[in-house]
Amino acid sequence: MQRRTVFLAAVLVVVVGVVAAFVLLPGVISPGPRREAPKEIVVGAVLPMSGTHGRIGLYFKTAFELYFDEVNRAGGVYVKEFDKRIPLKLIVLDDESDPTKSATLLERLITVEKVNLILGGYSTPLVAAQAPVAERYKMPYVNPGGATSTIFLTEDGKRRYNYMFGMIASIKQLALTTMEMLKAEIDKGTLPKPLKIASVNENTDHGREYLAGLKEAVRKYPGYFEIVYEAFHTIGEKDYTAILSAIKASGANAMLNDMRLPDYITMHRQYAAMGLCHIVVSYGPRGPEGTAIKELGKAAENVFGVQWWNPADPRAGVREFNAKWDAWVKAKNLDLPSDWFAAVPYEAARVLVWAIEKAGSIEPEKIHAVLLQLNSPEKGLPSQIIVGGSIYFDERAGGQITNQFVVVQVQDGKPQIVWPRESMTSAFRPNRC
Amino acid sequence: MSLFEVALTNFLSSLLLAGLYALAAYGLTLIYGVMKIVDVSQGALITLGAYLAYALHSQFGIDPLVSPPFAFPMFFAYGYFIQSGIARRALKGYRGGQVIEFTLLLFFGLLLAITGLVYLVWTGNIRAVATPYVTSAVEVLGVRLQVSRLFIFVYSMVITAILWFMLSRTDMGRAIRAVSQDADAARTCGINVSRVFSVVFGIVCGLSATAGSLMPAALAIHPAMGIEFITISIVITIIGGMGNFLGALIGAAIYSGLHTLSVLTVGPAYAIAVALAFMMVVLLFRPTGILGERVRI
Repeated sequence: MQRRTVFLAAVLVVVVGVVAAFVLLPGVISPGPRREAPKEIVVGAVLPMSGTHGRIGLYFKTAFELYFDEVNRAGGVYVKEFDKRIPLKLIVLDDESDPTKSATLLERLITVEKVNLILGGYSTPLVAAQAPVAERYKMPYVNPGGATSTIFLTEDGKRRYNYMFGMIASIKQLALTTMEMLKAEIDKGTLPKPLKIASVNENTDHGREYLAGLKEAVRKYPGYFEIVYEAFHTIGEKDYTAILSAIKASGANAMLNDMRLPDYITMHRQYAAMGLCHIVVSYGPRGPEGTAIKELGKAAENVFGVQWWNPADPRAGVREFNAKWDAWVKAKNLDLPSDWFAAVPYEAARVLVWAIEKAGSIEPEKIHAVLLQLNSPEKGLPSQIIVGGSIYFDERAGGQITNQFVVVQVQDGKPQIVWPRESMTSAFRPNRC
Repeated sequence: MSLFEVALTNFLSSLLLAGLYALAAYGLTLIYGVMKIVDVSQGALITLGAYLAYALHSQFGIDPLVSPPFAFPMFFAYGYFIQSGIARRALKGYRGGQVIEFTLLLFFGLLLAITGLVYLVWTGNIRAVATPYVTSAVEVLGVRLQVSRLFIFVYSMVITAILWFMLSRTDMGRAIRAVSQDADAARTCGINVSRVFSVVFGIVCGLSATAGSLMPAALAIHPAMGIEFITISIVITIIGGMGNFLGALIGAAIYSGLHTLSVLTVGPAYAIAVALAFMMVVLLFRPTGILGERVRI
């Protein structure tokens, strides 16, 4: 009897102990009460809302606002650690297109305004000023507006900033896309082999990287291309006669330049007046802009430019974005037709929000870890808007996307997409000289 | 393309370019000649002239090549009443070297303020004017020359002739030359020096705006273009001779010739460096410029 009582008491102690362990242990090992969810997730961005890039800054801000509005209308971002949807709030500070102000203001956003996260700005010099600040505060920096590869890679090819993620491909990639399209045309027999190229580029990192890309393609595709004239010009050149006469004397049949819009217009006016003709003419990212088509008239015919994105892309996702964007700017009474300045920042905001949901947290380190996983086209975030259909940050390119560009050619006075194949609205048309 | 063809094409085009540069430099050189001040704000008036021509074209379809009759009187009035007033009021109490330092700061501030205003009104977007002749050319000695640049060159030569006539054959011109040589002596001879200053400011502002109003015929325009032109004008003025409008013409010819030559030989990236190196040589061996002090105004 006594033995039985002892046994039962022992069983009771074990049961009570187990139950107590189940009830009490979580309290002992848990870090404490759950953190209180913030009322909103504050995302900051320093943009050029005035000065040289004022209009583009407005594009970026409007695009961020459009995406945030969509998320907020759906109840906010779901954050697992708080098990609730939290609305987004955007704070934008104006750096007046000044790199010094840009860096200071980003620091202010992080330290004084105490934003939860940040988004990147526009133009390489401004992004180059902001990136070290983001790095110092270990803030993931999704950058939709700085492309020159020197801000991503060090001289010895190493990643420069661990926290920066570039949404637009490098200028070298721009040149490579151009050459890949031309190679495809040579293979089709629409262009002669080898193509003799004259290349005049602005005397900046942008122009030098473009020429480096052309040279890389010349090495990659032996027998296809030959560079017969190369030069760097000063930005704001007033007369191109000497350069154009040197190009004429070089015997080139293709002219691939990297120039800014005013230089392109000035040079191409003189080019046409001198009666020059090349079967292939491009001004790098310039060519099919409305201003150039209007001001150059027939002289702009068949000139092509290479762009990060174009609203004429026939893919369903792009058409849907255009409709959404047009309605948004109309409601805000803004004259901002759809452009890459709208689409890429919109997608940058989407990447950040996706990373918050994936991390289940608004802690910058956790979001950074998620973004680092998007390191190849296969592992990238699918996109119906971005060219190539995937948003990824190539480690070998220092965390910059390496997708294809869109080649847009002026045909019958209108811009037509001639590359890549999935976005084509027309076939490439060589000049008949 | 034969070597002769290359040489002739580049000689003629650098001549046309010299016309464009001379027109832009006249304002700077004339005001230095008369008042001994360096008015860098003329760069902003070149910009304003360009945007005036752009506005006239976009609103009323007026060709940039016929915009000078609108630009000159408008900016003459601005120079006569406003710019000269600002300069006179600001210069009170300054003497000798202080004047140069102070006016440099004053007009540099004005240059930035007007450029900022242009950014505000027209934004930083690139503007260009489409005319029927924008890519047209005429053949001269077998060389194709851009029609718009040829027109600008003709304008430049006509303006040079008018300036020369006005300065050498009219009473106002003689008064301007007298003031430029010795303002105090001119005053004792009964010349209204203050009025002469106002007229000179009027002419200078009118000239800069006229130069600017012709630019859209040949170049794409943007708010910072005046800063580019005033920098080139300073180099031209130093090479040709400060305060000498014939010197500006010679300086412009040398600058554009050097530019063309260096593009063809050492490459376009070094063209400005070559021109600046030449300017340094002039400053070292002939600090008053090629025409120097011999001929004023």
